[in-house]
Amino acid sequence: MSGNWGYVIAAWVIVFGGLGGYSVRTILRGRSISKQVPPEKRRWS
Amino acid sequence: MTTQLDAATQVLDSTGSRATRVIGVFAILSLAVLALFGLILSPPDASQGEVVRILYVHVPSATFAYIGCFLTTIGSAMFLWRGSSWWELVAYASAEIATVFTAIVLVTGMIWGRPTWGVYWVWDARLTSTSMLLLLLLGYLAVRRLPADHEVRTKRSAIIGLLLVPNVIIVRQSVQWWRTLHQKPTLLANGVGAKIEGLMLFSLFVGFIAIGLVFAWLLIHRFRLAWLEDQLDDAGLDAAIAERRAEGETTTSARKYDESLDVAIAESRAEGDRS
Repeated sequence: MSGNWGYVIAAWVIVFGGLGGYSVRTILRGRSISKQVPPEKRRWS
Repeated sequence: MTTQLDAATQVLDSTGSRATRVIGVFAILSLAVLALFGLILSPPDASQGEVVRILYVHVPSATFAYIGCFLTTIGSAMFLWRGSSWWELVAYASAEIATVFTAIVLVTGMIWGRPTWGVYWVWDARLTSTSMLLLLLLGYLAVRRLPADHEVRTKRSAIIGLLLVPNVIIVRQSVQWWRTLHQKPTLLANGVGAKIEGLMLFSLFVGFIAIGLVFAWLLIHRFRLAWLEDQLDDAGLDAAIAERRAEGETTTSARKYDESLDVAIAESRAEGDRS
């Protein structure tokens, strides 16, 4: 059981890649939709 | 000057704010610390070897998938009870994030299972109930995005949202209620303290902080995105109503014109008959 670094790297890549990909998708969709909504309806900006 | 103005406009045209930028920076830093401790500084486990490093991301992901499900159930209940659209958006945002986290938990669990159990998948209670949870979350999202009336789909998805916490309880307790291949709880083992210590416990602790910050950052952004989507839906509905009204007014004025034309024709015919 001393090897198995391949499994470790695969799991970490899936976590970081999955969360990173989802984050980028969320940000890009937010930017795209923000442009179509008037600024006064964006309470955080 | 123009570049600064462009940058400022881009910041406004997004779901970001000062708070999300601060959380984002801390999340990236804590993920770097997690990688340092989880992959380099913490020792291999006596029985699992290097594979234990998968658990530093797998266990926190599972915990925050459960937290996402709790938020969805609470938001759904508040929406059904009080009709609060704010809570409905919290439920929707956290359901989507919980779906991503649950999928990550299943995949990393399978990768951990191969060198530990010798197989990627077994139909034991923990794995089966977790896949049921993923299906339930996907069902929630599918119903929420149906091309139907907004009120109908939000109510139906909220009813599915209520089922998430009971399912999480089944997932959590499955290793206690049934004989499973999956190990029993390590951190909260029968309330008598952790079976893990030293740098391994610290790495897991860093994992909870890093994944927690990512979860919080995603939740804020996804909530704002859902808010924008709702605003856009409302604007589209207003435009459709205005268009229908304009069509109605055009039809009415055309009908009035036809009627006045008929009257004029009748009058001229009557005059012609008299002459």
